[in-house]
Amino acid sequence: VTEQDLRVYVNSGYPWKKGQTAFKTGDKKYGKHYVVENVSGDLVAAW
Amino acid sequence: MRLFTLVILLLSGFVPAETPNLDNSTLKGKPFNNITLEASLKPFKKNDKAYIQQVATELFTQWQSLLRHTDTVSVMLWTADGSEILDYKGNLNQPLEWARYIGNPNTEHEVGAGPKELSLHERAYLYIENPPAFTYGDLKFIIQTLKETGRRITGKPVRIGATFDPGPEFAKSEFKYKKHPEILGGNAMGHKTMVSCYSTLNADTESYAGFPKGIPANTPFGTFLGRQSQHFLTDLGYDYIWLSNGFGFGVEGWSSTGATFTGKAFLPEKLANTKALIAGFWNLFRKECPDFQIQTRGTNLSTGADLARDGVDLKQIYGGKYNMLPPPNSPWAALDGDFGLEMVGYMSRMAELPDDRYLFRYYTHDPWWVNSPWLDRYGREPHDIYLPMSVARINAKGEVRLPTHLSFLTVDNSFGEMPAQVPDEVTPHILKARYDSPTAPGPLVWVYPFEEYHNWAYKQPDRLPEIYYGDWLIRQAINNGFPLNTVISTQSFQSVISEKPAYFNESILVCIVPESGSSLEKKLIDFVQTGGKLLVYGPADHAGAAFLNLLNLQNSTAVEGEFKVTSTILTDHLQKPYPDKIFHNALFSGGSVRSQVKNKAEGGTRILAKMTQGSNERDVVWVRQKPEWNGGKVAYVRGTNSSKFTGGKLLTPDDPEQFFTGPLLMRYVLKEFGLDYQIDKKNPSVKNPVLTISRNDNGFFFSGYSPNTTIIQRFKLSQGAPLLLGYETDLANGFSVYSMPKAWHRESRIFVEQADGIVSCQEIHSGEKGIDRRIQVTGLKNATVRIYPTKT
Repeated sequence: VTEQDLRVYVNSGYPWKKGQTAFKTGDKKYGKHYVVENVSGDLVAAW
Repeated sequence: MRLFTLVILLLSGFVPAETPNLDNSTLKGKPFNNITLEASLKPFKKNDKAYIQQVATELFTQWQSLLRHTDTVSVMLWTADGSEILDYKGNLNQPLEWARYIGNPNTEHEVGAGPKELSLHERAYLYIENPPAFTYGDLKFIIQTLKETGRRITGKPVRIGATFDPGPEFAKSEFKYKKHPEILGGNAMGHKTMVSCYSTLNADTESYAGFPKGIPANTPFGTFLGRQSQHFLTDLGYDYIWLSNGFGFGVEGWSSTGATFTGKAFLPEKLANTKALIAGFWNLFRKECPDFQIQTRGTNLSTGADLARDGVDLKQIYGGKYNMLPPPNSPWAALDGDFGLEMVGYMSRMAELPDDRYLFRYYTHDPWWVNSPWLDRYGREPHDIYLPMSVARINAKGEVRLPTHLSFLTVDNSFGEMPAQVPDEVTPHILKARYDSPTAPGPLVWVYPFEEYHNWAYKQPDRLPEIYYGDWLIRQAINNGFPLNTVISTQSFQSVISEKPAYFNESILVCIVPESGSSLEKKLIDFVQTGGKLLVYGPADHAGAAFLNLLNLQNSTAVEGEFKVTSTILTDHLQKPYPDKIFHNALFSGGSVRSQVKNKAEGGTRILAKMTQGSNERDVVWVRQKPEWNGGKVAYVRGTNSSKFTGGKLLTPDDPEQFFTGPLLMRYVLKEFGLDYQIDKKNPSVKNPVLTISRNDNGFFFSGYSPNTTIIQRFKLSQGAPLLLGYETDLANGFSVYSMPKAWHRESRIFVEQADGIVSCQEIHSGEKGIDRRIQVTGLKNATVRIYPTKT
């Protein structure tokens, strides 16, 4: 899954038209991952 | 015309072999090369051809959903105890003594006789009234029927294996216990009850298939068994032979002592001869039986322990080009709950291999001793599936290699029943574990000293205690929550780190102190000094200057016995704390304690645990890092084994209420590398959980066994608290906190940095074209969330 294939939503729900949030590539020393900071409530990651 | 042909074929009961398996694309997970259904003859309750065919049909049918995931199917027949091979005269009309008992038929009490209070180990019963009589010819028919029926149902080639067991279980043996007791050497089931692979036979005038004029005096048992096997396997239509219960690997397959260790002292002077004797067996067997594949059970222990205690030189056996499948995981954890020993045995045997093939074996039923482990030992809990199947073997190319073979001991129970409940319940767990199998090294990687141990045993015999101890320490560490489930040999490690320097960037290497001046020493030092994480365990008595310098270690005078232990990394939460006494027994801990930090003033070294005895103080755990190491870090744990030989089969752990459990420090020091795994429990006697963490397709898979489900487990890694998919956690001080069942296996792809609060992590439906997976986290409070999506 590339950065383009990942979608992250905060405090959203079906039909997933709102709430998409930005994320950044995480520190590679922790492996391939993506980071979202200062999140409150719900988060959904989809790919 | 084609329709007419098909109708005729179907009416005749023939189904084309390809039919059931037309669409393999629907199958998930890496297929096995071979799946073996082990079985006794007990399900064949009538010596009737139609009945035998019906039993064979049921046998393959009830495992069919799993058998779709293999290239080849095998049935391994526990016909008798192996004496059917020894007794074979080359005549198919010969009556067959077969395993139609429950209990031990080789005792002083006749089958079915004796006082009622005698245990099954003291006597045997027939498994049903009037079990059928079979000849060798009938056995040949069963074998042929299994091949034909299996092929028809599965569409796969079917191989049939014979079994040779060295002991008194399963069937009566006139050969072992009356005609030729001189071949008995091992004591696993009573004094001199097990056939020694390197025994010799007395003269025997009786005719045997391979010895029609009798057995000459002093015939090596390897020669006799090899030649008899060649006749037996060929005549009856077998494809391979299984050497059971440690046979071919020394004489004491179940014990922590053996030919080279008495429990009080090692006998290095016996090592070379023992190696030669064992190699002699394999060579003699192969001279007589050159082509049939040999599959092996091995011992209940591990590579280093077997070498040091019973002279089992796995390197020689693996390198002998014997066309053999190496020993799998021992089934004994089902009996004694010692999953640490099972994992250590499994990993230490696969660190190196004869080729890329190896076996995972699972204990579903026992056809002899009235137990069915899936139902009544594991309690229908799958921990002994998910723990060993989380193991990643890394080869010299830096590839994860999974078990190529899978075997079920057995598909029938002690009464000849084959309850479909068992395959119906076990198969989903086996497949799920296979789907989630490792694709990359786990957080901890055991760099196993396969080569070093086999060299030291002969060239530095004073190091036998160290060879013996290393595996036991890791056994105790795993039994106390040390999440070790990836293995690579020291030789392969050096190849991989040269070709793929970043391969272990997400892992902590776990290794012994390397040989002074060795290439391994240099690779490990380079690894740390270029940013790698290394946990070193065991004595440093033979360390070279460079490695001593890396560790900032000096060896002081040797001290053993009772110590006071103090540590700043005792992270578990106990209502009654661990004792502060520890007993270091040099014989079982690779020598006395000598380790000290050399330069205590150096800022980069932090001492984390000490052991004190009178005026003697030894540093036993510390970490060291330097700015110029680019994040590299090394930890050293001297490692007190905290177990000893008390006369039982295995080493006995010290009473945890009386003495601190030394191998706990292996888990505690992981915090220094960012892997913090803590346990809450009532008191030291409550057994700690076993945990594995494996990596599959960029995700983390946590698998566990909770001997005591009152414990609470806390997790925090460098990237945050792992959220186990499908569960809620009440975060505490940044840890995810879970109370887990007896067996569990959970995926984690979300980590959070958040101090507290209830957080839930759930899979939810896609509901959107182009989206395969959707994971929802609720309950976040100003959290940093790290997401590990799949790579594919």
